[in-house]
Amino acid sequence: MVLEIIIMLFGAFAVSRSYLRYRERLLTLPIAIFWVGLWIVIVGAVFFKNWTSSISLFFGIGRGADFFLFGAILLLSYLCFRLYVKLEETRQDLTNLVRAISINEKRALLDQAGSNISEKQLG
Amino acid sequence: MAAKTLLEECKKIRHTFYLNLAIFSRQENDMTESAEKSCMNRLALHSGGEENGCNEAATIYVVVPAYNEESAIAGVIADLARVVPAQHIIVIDDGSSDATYLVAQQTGAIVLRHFINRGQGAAIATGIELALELGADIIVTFDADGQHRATDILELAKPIILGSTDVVLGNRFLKYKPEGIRKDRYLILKLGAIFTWLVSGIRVSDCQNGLRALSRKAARSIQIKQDRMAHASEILDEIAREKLKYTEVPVKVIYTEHSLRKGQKTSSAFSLALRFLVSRLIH
Repeated sequence: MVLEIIIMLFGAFAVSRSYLRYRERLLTLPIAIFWVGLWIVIVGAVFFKNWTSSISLFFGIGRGADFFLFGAILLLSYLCFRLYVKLEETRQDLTNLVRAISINEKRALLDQAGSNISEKQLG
Repeated sequence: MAAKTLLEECKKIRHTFYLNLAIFSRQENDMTESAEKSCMNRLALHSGGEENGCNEAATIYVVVPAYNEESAIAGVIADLARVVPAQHIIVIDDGSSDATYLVAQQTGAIVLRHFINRGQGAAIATGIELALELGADIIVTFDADGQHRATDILELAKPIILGSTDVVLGNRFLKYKPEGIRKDRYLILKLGAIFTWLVSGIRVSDCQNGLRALSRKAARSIQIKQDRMAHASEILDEIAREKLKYTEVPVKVIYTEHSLRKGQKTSSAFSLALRFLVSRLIH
């Protein structure tokens, strides 16, 4: 029973954090719903073990806990991948920004110096 | 139409003549510096080819990514300026913490600055973008640590000027024996060549050479998204993906204490390969 209470308290904490991040507009509504829903399912799975067992049997996995363990690993792997993609996008955006600033600075200087960068060349 | 064809032939013949003259004269060591420069001007630059109505000259721009190269950059640009005009040399100071930017600015080259360090791949992509904007027909990438010879640009540009290929890759193993190369570095380069062949389907024996020439068409189609050193593998991958014609020409790499210190570490090769493979999954 102690484990159930700990997980419930932690779940409540995680849900409240998700809600506050949504209020601060750091999370979009779909993402906030995702995290709240995920923690509700986790807490529900702890309290309703029969329910998880029937799902795990449906998928051919012996114990409900094993089913959730497999599911958690899959989900975490996917979230890691999403995080990596997001990081790459941010890195690329940063590089594009640095590039645009450096080229714009040089373009302005070349234009001042009467460089013949014509519209044709720019196209 | 016939006149236009004749003009095109005229352009090709003129290019071939000046190119061969430059290469032959350099090989025979009988060309003075000014004569070589004049010849190259006629071969590849804006100043060439305007006489007799043949305004066809292929414009070469050299892109030099530089990071903390204050001790080497002036010498590299001076060497390049013997082959191309200084205003066709684009130096990208990639957020250096030393005086690279100031030193490069005093040489007459076009100097850009990344206000934070983004890596060699990002710097090359910046240089290529500006070179295309300035109307480059051929873009040569050239390391800033002094390991390349500016005169090798002649051999790199030749196949593109003659229209036989889109990309020319420098190869340190084809003709010259790379003196001073560490054995572990040599092994990594050979393994890298096998990796490139397996992943991209491109057969080259020097997959990490920073000296390469791109035609305008190739430069426009190759997308460099790898900011750091994995860009070399990415360029080869892009050549395969875009079905560009490529060839390798022998170039001499000069290993100095400085270039060895600045070069890639052997231990980073595996992380580069991993980063490249992961990026292929994403993009």
